[in-house]
Amino acid sequence: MSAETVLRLDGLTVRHPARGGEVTAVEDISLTVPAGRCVALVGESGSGKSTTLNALLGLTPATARTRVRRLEFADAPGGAPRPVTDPAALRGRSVGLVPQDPARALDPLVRIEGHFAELYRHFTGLKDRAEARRRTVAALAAVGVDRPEARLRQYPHELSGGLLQRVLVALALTGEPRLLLADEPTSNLDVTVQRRVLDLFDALRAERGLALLLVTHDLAVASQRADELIVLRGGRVVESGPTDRVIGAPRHPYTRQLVTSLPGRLPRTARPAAGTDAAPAAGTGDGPPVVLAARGLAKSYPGARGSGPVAAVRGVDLTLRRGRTLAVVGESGAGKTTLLRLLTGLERPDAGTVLLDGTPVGTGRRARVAFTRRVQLVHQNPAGSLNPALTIGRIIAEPLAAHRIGTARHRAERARALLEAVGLPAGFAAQRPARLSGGQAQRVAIARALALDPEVLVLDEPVSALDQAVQLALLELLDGLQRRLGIALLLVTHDLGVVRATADEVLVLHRGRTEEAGLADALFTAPASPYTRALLDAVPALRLPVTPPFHERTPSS
Amino acid sequence: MNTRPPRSAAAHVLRRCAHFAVVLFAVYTVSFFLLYALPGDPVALMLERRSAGAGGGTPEQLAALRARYGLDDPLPQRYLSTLGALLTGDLGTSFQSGRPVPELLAAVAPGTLALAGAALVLAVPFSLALALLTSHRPGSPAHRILVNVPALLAAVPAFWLALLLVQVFSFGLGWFPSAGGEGLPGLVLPAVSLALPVSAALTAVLVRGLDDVQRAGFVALLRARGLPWRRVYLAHVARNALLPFVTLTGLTVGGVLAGTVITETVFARAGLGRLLASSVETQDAPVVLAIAVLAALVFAAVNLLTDLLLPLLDPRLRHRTDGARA
Amino acid sequence: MTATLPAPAHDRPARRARRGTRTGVPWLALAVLLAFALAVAWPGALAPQDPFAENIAQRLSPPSTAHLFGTDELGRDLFSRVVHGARASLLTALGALGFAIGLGLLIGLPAGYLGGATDRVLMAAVDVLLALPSLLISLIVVSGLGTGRANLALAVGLASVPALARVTRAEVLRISTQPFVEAAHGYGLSRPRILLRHVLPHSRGPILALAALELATMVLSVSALSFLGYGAQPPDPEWGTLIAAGRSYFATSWWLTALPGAVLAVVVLALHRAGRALGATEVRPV
Repeated sequence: MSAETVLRLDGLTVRHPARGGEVTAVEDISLTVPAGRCVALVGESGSGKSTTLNALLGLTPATARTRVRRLEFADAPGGAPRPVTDPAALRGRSVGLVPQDPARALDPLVRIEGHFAELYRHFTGLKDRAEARRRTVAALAAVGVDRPEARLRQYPHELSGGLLQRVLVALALTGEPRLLLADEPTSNLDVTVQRRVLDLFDALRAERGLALLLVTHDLAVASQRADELIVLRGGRVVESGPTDRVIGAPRHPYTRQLVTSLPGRLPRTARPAAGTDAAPAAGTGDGPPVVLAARGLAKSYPGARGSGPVAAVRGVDLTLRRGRTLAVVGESGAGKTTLLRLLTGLERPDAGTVLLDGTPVGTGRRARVAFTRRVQLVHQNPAGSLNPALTIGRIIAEPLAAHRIGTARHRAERARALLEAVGLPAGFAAQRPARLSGGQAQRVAIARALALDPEVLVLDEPVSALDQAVQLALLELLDGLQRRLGIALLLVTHDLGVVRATADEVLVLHRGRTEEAGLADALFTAPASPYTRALLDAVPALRLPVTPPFHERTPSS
Repeated sequence: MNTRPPRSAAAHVLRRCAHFAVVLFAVYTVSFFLLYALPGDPVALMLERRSAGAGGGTPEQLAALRARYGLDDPLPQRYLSTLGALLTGDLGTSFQSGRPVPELLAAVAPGTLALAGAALVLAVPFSLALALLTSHRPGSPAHRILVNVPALLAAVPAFWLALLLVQVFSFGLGWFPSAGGEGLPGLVLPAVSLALPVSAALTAVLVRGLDDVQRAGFVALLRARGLPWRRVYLAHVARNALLPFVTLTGLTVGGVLAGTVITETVFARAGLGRLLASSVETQDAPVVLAIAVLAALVFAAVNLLTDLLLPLLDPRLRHRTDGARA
Repeated sequence: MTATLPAPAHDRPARRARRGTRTGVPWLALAVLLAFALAVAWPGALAPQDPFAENIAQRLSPPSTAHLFGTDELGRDLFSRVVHGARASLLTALGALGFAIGLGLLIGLPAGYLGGATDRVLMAAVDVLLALPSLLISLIVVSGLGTGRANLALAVGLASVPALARVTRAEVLRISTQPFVEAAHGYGLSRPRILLRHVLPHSRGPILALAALELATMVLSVSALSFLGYGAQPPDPEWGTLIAAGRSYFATSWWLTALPGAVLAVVVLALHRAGRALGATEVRPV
């Protein structure tokens, strides 16, 4: 394939007005996208990915100051790139945009066919409804939408996320652009869906010679799909080049850090005699005793208007042993969060029991309070779980106050000690949570959960909201705490990289049922259920040499 | 919680109707006890007013009248008998004039309906236009200035506005009659003074809706596809913002009806509002009660209507026969 | 070479200025409200003359330096009467607000926190009040209780109870689902302590903001009802009553109606501004 250039952007700088001057969102960014190729802009939140993309379409706010040295676009195949003065002219016909959040990307009041008809009328002046419909069906079929005729009369809220993303791709193609901008096109989708959407992009590139500029925070996705990588940090390009070169031999320390902290590459922690454990379902046997167990848990919620109740969890059993880690895995809607709320007593099951040390947990208030001393939950949204009006010291000490443990002074001392135990300065105790970063807030939430010396720590998606480098450090912290305190961890996550790095045992949830459960090693090497296999296959991962486990490495800064 | 069987649209309508029936009944009950359970002798007041200057009625006259209006019966019995009468369509007799309440209401209702209708006909298009103009370019100087107009309109006392309008347009310019006034010219000033405060709320809600919808993801995407802003604004932004506006318009109908109390007083127009004002003054309980129940009925009917209208405008509110997503 | 990209005229700041939450302190509105507070507390400090002193020689004289707002049909200084009227108008409205907040909290807190049957019964009661326009509620109460300032406060206050009860309930519900409240359940904090320590402090803001807006509405309602003759009785100066009294002369003496009304509008605007500064976004239907 020729390396004919479709888009050339040179020296893009965007500044936003701010109190007492300006904030530079991106500075001196240059990129070139050849026809038929995929270039990925990779960076963490706030690195300037979205600003670059908006500037390319002239969508930056009116208050922002946007400057480029050169912007060129080749409209016709084989033609030389022409300079572009107003990027708004590129919208639709030259550049198609596939947005980040498919669920919010379509006017909810307009049927699928209406979205297409509007664009056909705008791009080609087509007014004939039958013709527009015919083209819409063809366009939908081309991006792999099943039963395209049936979709015409549907509304956006009636379609699933993966299907919506396909519709959005089809809409982006209506103006017959030569370049697709994909803004985190799959970050809100489950892994299996994510894979199919990315395959669609690959197919479109091959069929139509489309160029693709993929914006993503996920280095694994980028490395799998892109020909070239551009790594952004703080609004600047830190490294760019062919994918193999950037991943294989990163030059910039930041890129190196990104590559080593990829979730798929998180190192396996060394597990004491993990292989000699008895089958996880057995209540007794070898290995440490069981602390927390569930038998036949079930819970359903009243459904939306006009539909029956929705079963969130149906008959799930699980077993968690002292000092071990159990990971509950599943895609969104699999019932992970409900299961966790049942296990921690935040909701009552419709059927089944939760057992602590083999005895069913009572339902009275006294039993509930006793239970909270031994099983603690760390919420999915750590920042939200900290009352913004209280100091961090008070937040961490509040479980102790709730159980009337120690004097106020003793509790304050304990809070400071806990802060240090989770790797934060004790001075944080006097601050309020508003200024904490995501990782710090998660550490504070863990410190609070540890205040009552629980035997079980339940963590809901502990790292999903964090940037990759922070994820690694947090998982290291959990690993260290488990070694020191001997607590059992129950981890709920959709991220198989995290599971691989931490779990002794895994339970795969699918539509509220246990799809598969067993030792982590066995499950990863030889999954028994086809669903688990599909899940494992869909994870974008780099094939790279194994790095040593946590405890053999020097702690990273 | 517990399982609910899927409901059809007809069942939904029935449920809403039943709800409104309960609310109506409650409105009647609360109004009845507020009006009758409290001290004050309406008959004495009535006789005093009727024979103003003639020295009031004799004890025999009082007793006869009390018996005639059933005021000697215990309260619960009166409550039930009034309710029974109400259900058969008998709205009672005015203490003040001695005439049947329906007759009183029917005599003045057309004037009020014309006024309220005219006010809505002015307020809805006016607030639509003002809001569309305000939100067309957020962040622009026009937006910053116009966005304050609703608050300004809402701060102006309705009766004062009416008086100022009269001052300028009747006494100053002589364009419209100041009081009474038959036909269209007499309707203009009252309708405008009734419409402006209503438009304040309508415009504020619509502007907020328009500004919110513009921040939605799909608007940025429509622009990124190259559609002209006018098309995006009118066909998508405005259409989405219209949903809360429709609900509020329904809610405003009650406010417009209540507003006629002041407008009709200022402009000395005969109407339900003025009848209510004078009945409150003379504690003419049957008339006040009838108007309260009537207002609740109109209010409930309009809300039922918007309730049924919204699913037509918003597909997300429609009943799905199957809960499955494609 | 550097080129500046033209920003199309209709480009809008997408992520700028979250709605409603104005952070700036409304100094002007605060100054106005302080001046009115002074008029309520100590009218003599602001009013140049005795509001009841009649001077037939100077009756119906237009605004001048001697009489800032002119004089009425008995030659009384209108500015002094407006200043003294602040007490009747604003105190009645404040009384109404106190009543409405008290009853609103009494309904909203248990409804939101206890939920279930308590919630359904209490909210059904609120629904009944919402089924009538607020002015009509006030009129029914006045009709039942009779006229006078205390009854007027009760009548106007009752009309605002639904809004306050609903906001209180909604806030309690919202805060109750916040992760930090759930976390408190998770480590075994008792329900009353959760309500006291985590829920109430966070619901205060929106309730206060609504209270400011409701007070504005109440000032308007009190004067409207006084205008209709249900409030303060002459010769007591109250803004609505002043405007009503001025009606008889307004063909010739515009200031008697225009100026008290303008003062009323200024108070209401200042309260609106304060409410918005506190984070309120709503202009309620009349």
